Amino acid sequence: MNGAVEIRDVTKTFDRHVAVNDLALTVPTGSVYGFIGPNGSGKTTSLRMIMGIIYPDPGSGSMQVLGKPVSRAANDRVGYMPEERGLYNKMKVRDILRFCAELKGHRDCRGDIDDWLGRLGLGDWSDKKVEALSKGMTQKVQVNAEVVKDAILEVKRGGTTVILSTHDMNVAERMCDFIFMIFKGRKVLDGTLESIQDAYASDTIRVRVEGNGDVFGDLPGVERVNDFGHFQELRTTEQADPQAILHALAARARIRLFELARPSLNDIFVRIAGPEAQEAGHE
Amino acid sequence: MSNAPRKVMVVAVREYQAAVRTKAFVITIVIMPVLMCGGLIAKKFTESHADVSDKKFAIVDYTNHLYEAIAAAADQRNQFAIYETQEDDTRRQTASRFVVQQVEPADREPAQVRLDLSDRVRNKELFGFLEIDAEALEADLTKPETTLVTYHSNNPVYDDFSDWVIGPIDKAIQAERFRKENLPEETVAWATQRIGRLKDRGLFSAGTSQGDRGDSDRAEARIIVGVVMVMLLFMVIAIGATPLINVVLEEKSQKITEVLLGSIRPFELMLGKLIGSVGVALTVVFVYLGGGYGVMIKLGYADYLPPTTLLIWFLAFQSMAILLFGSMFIAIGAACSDLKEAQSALLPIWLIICIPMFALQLVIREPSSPFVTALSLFPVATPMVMPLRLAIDPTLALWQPFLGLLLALLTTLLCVFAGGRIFRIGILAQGKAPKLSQLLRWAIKG
Repeated sequence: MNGAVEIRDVTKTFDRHVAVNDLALTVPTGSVYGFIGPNGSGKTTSLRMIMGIIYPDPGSGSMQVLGKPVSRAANDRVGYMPEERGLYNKMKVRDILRFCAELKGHRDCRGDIDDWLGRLGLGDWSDKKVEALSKGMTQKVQVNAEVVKDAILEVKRGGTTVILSTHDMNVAERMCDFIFMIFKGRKVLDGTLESIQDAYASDTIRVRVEGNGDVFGDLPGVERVNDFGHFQELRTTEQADPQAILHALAARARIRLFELARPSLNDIFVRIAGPEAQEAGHE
Repeated sequence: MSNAPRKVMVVAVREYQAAVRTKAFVITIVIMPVLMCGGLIAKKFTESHADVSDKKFAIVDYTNHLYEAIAAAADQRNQFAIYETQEDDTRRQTASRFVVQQVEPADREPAQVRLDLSDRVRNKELFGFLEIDAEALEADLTKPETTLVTYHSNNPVYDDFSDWVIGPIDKAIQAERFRKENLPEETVAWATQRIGRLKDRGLFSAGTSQGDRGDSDRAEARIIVGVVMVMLLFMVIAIGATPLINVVLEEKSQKITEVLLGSIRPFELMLGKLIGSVGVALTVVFVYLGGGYGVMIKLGYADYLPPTTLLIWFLAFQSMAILLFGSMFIAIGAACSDLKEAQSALLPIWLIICIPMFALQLVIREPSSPFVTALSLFPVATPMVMPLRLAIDPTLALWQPFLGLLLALLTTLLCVFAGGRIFRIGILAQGKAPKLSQLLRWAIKG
């Protein structure tokens, strides 16, 4: 075990509802790790267990964070920022940052606070109350929205491991080195974006041909055709040979585009989770 | 773990500053005593604006011997007893004149007379009427079921007349009975003399020939100090502990708790809040006590200031009250999703807090009765009742406040522990507020 976070066979149940089921995960040190999945899939429960805010079911497995078992809530080396809000409206920006820093065990943090406020372009807002800030500025204080990308990249350069939990799969695609997808409490994907896309890429071919769509009928190895108007996606069988499909198609029509497509995370999720995921993914 | 106490204090300081550094706190400090004294002000106001218009009463005297005496007594009352002498020696009327009129039944049946008079009361010609049975002079008045004299009105709350008139009637019946026995009027007057009101003239000390009212005055001052302490404690709970609910609800709804729990255990977070609240409460107490001491010394009442030991007891009990009720408030705030839910859940706790207020008069009158002693040892009532008893009765056996403190401490620890468990689970829970049974399960099983 040498990842920043090591989870082995952990289950968490609330009453009779299994929120996280037999989860195993390794988050490499210094990586940006994306937790993705629709609302209610188990992301927050997993994160709360990592933070020690809630505990796994007794005897269900083990969890280590930064090489130590997760047995207490207060972990001064782990920071946690929720998706939105999380600030006292009546506090000044500088005061709330100092309060959070002191809770993390930093005593003389004024310099660091000024430094970070400057880096995020918030220097002029340090003595303003949170409630007085515009929505955009509040998001900045929360190190959210666009700023989060820069901040994450900055802390990553410093060797910090970042776990990013989101139901927005596009964000995860753009920012994460590793993706962990959870659905109904179960891990359904885990790996680098490339490895995941590679694993699901071979069954999709994106084509554009001259003429009408009749040319796709009875193509060898093609089990379904999705027509997007100016291009079509061919879903192939596991044994299909793209070369054979190319030859067969070339014999029927003039080909303008033929590429082995890399599906989006959302496509992959929909494929894994079935039809109900289409709806869940858009909650 | 070594960081835990420091983190608790970081939270406590934030809570304290968040509560004290606001205009609302300053305004509340000023307004709260005004609200608490509102009852006294309202009483004074209603007294000075009491209805003093004449109230007419009909009297049907079937004995034919009592009306004159009642009318004379009413005249006497109307001339002297309903006025208050002002500082400038002028008289101010503070109660209504009773205007009585005799009603002759003539040849009407008593039932018809009652009906007629009832209609006159309904028509507001009369305020009420009195019926004196013909047997009133002869019958045994001591029989509890006697209805020889009955009063009728449609205002059950106003009992000034019925309370007053019974005195002149008794006196008139006595006079008639003496007259019937041929006893001279002077003898009757002598025989029915009354001592009148007793005045407390204080206790005697060795070498003094007259009683000293000082002890009595000091006892009165102690009662006032005790009542002020109870009021202060009530205010302290309102100002120091009640806002905890709002804070917890804000943290829950704004997802602040999630951020905080990444750095501090739920129990430590709750403890920090409670300590912060105790700090707020102590600030309130010191402001009021400081003000009170200053005023009393300025007005020359330094002799009546409460002893230091009493203040120490009070501070100990008020801190206990904040921890005890604060932990309940925090648990409720954590378990609920919005203020409306929380307010409903708070009702039983406020009833518990108010129990000592309801028993205030009883405690003042009989501070050492078995019931009051038991009440002062009932942990949720101890913080209010025990300081009051200590204030009123300086000779109270010390084992009682110590036992009260111990029981309150144990209950407080239990509440903080249970509250911490409810807080830990409730603060992250969403949706409908849990039922009492579920709260108990959270508190017991964690």
